[in-house]
Amino acid sequence: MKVLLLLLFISVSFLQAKNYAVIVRSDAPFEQIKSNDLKNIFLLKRRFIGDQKIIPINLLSNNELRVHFEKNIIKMSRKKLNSFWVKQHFRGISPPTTQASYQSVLKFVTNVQGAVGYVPSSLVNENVKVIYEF
Amino acid sequence: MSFKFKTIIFFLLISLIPYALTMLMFGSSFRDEQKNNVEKELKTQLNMTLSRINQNLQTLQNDLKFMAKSEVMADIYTSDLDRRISRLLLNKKNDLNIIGNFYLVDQEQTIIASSDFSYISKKFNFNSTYSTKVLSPFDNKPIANLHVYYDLKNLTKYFSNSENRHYYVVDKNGKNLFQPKEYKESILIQSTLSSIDNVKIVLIEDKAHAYRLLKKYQFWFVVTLFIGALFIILMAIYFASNLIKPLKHLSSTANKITQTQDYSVQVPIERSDEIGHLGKSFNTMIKGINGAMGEVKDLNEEIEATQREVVFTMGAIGESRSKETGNHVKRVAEYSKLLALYYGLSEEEAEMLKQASPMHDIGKVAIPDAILNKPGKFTDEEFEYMKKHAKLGFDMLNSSNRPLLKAAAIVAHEHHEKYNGKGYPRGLRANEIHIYGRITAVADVFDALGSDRCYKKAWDDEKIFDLFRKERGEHFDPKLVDIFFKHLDDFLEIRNKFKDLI
Repeated sequence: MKVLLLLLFISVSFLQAKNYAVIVRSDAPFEQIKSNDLKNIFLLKRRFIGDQKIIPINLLSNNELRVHFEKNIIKMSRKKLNSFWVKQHFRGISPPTTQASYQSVLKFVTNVQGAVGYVPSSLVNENVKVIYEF
Repeated sequence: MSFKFKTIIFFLLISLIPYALTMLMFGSSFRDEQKNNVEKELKTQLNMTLSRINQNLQTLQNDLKFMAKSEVMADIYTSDLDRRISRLLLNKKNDLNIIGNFYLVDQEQTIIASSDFSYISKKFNFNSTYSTKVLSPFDNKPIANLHVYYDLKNLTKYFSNSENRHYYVVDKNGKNLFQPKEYKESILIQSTLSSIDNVKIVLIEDKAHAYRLLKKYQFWFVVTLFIGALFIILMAIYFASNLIKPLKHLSSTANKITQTQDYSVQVPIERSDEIGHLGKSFNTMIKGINGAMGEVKDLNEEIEATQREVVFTMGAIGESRSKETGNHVKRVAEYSKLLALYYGLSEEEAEMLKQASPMHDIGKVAIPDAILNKPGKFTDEEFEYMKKHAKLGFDMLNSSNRPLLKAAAIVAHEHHEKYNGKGYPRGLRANEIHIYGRITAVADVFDALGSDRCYKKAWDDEKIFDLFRKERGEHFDPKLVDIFFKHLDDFLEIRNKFKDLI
């Protein structure tokens, strides 16, 4: 019972610490990326890494993981983000495409070179590689 | 062929033919126009329907292109794992309310998404109506095709069909679809649908229904045509009759004059033109003839009167020689005529006998006065001489060719013959004696016996009648004696009228 409780505690604290992974296709021509670069990629301020065009993939706006991602990586409130995208809209820039599920994010990343998405770490498979964890 | 008939035919030819031609041309152009109108109306209807269909199909194609550009097409990269494209297609299908489906097909002809979910991940191996390329939102390369299959049955909702008129579809194989029924005879208008290849829309209408107005007008047209023709025929007959009428008057008047010899008839003149003049001339001619005829008649009467008087005078000469009163011949003449009429001779013959009989004793002119006027009885010799007056009279008169003098000759010759053959000069019997002779014998004896003569006194009537009865069949023709007694009053009346005045 003590062991069980310990395992639970460890796993919960582990999940809270590094439970999610930012992924790209396994043959992507880049490896690790910084949190700030990730922010610029998802705000479409940075379109390329090296010669590779980057396509950020968001989850739907009500998704818990997206809320978590915005809070920890982009570090902007939803209100602030909305006004940011409204401004961008007038410059002809739309926010990143979305996918409705982790599976579809995974599949999209697998199929499209340069696509960058984030999913729970447990779903990571051999078709993708992790370039950031949070 | 009569002139009237010819005139009618002529009138009919010059009026009926142009009339009929005009009417028929008018009728046929009216019919063509009606037919054109019917076709035009059908064409308009068909074009309206076609334009509605084309408009809606254009909308469908625009929708297809719009969907192909939508953001959700990025899900092609996940093979529409979340069914977001399929739901979009389903919504669109429901919005448009069409029969058919949308299909999103990837480069390997696998159906990624469809408005019918059961087709997802199957192979796309059937025809679609429209398709459009879907380009990648990231690099503008074609990544899939969006198809729509639009069932032709959709077209039927644009068709407003009725009992007598309906639309149907001819597909690319020439097969008729959605045809509710067929008509015995029909008008058909068709047009190719520009928005779907090789599909034709046909609008068909029952011929009887389409031309129903024409049928109605046709009936009235024929009625009018016949009324007009009838009017023309009547007018032709009327005018021809009017034209002929004066000529008919002329010919009928001429016929009447020929029959009745009445030259006082005139032709009625009803007009003042050349034909009226003809009638006037005819009238003038007849009037002239009438005047001339009157003169001829007067002259003729004059001649006849003269003749009568001459004959009478000749008779009187004979009488005067024998000192008999002049009225004797008059009475004999009257008796003779009466007997002739009752005997059954014609009025003309009786009249001729009346005029001839006064001359019965004309032969006495040649008898010497000594014998003729001798009082008392004749000697046999004297009597034989006396008898000669009959033959003498005959010889005097017979040389003439005139019927009256011929009749007088007969009377003179035979008025002393007796029915029994004992008379003179030839002793003829019964019917051998000419009826003129037999009649004059009765008339002469009756009057002679009733008159005073130089050799005797007048007999009483009874004595005369006794003699007549006795001599019936002897001296006199029995039939004439019977007539005499039957109509005795008439004879006595004549005797009274021409009494001798002493």
